[in-house]
Amino acid sequence: MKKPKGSRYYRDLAVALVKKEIKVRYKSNILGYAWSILNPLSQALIYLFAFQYVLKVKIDNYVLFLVLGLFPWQWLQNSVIASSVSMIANANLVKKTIFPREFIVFSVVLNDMFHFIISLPVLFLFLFIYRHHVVMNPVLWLLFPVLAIIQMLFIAGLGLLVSSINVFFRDLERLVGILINFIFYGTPVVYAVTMIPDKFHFIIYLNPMALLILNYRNIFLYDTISWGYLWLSLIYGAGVFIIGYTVFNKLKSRFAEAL
Amino acid sequence: MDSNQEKVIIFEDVWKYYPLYHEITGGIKMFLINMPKAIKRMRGNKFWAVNGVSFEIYKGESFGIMGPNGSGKSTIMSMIAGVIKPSRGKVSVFGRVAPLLELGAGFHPELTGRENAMLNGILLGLTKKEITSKIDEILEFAGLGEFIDQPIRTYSSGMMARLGFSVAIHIDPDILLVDEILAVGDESFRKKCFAKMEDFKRQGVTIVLISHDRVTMESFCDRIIEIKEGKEVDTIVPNKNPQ
Repeated sequence: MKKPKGSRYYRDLAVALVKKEIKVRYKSNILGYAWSILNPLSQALIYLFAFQYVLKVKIDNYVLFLVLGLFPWQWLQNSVIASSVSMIANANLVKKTIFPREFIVFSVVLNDMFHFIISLPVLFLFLFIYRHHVVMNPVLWLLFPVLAIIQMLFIAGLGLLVSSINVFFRDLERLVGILINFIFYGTPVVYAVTMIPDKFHFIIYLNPMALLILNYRNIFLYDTISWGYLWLSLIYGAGVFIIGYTVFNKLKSRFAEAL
Repeated sequence: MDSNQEKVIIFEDVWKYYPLYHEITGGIKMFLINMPKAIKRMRGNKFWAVNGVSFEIYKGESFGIMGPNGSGKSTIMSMIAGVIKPSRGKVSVFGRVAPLLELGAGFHPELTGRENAMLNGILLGLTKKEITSKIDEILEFAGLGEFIDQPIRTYSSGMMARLGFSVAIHIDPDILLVDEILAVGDESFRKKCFAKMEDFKRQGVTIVLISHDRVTMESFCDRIIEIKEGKEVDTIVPNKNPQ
């Protein structure tokens, strides 16, 4: 096949693949949109009960606090898990055609990003309920998409990494499931960063997802931003993306024969 | 074949081995525990699928690759499609290659025939605009009637083959790869496909056909090579004018 060149083709390819993911998701069930919201909300309910009512954690606006952690987390978790099996799931295509394989991963990440974005009205509803206003500072408003783009880079990097390695080491998809759980509790989603004992405080600097979630909360809950976290998460996001892409490119020519 | 004709596919002493991937796909644990040994074993444990094959295919030629299962013909096809790289030697391919996807490969069961055809066209290298301008023709050729707006999961295998073939031939390929796919589908559609392939031949499209069905191959191909254990054992030029 002649290599289809040109940005128009790549844009069409990305749009077509993301559209497919979204269509498929909405065709097979009636509640469609509701499911992408219900999942994180039901988790929020569970954590609300377990941590606020049973363990008596003292965090103001805990539901809003949880939602601000869980919506971005959901994106990471769904994309990384789906990416890990994405080449195997599309084996027929990878074995026969030479379209750029990385677009399989991109479509996974963009699909979940789309669901993250359409969950925002729910977030604003909670903001309104708990804080009686939606953030006003325009600079903070502008920073929200910046955080989302950094998160997209980071997740795409992880997705490229796990999708390509999993072609050769099929155990990885199991490992990803376990690691994601570790990272979840290593990320201040259900607890506040101030509750981490000093000697473990460093873990948030090793975890770009922690930095991102802390900044989402800074914007919507505390009307501020940590520039330090922002820059650090950008460095991580770009770094992970470059590493992921490099590994993917090294391995992709052998996908067709290993699948 | 006339040697001053344009060559579109050139295999120069092509070798291909597969490392035995199950050594590693079998598990990280075993691999990590015996890492040095496993790497050494992988290096030594190769499966040679293609052993020094050379041929040239000319523009407009219908070229058959025949051989028993596991003889390496699918590997050769994958190298023409560009999804697998040779271990040694050189493969050159000039022009847009349309691979005929295996039954429903790349088709999503929940999407309709029309949606799948659009997506498939884009995956095969067309832009949205190009596929949009061709979609009516594609659906027309597939001849699926009102089924075209039903989810693919309701299709029979023959119907899927029709749709797949129809997309592949409408992307204006320079080289069409046909991998025993026409075994499915009913007699009338097969005839339609072969008629279309004869059309292609006249238009100068190169067709590479894989099969172990000698009769079909000899009636359709200009030249056939026979592959056994990754080596070319015979070249057959069917006599096209027996009368």
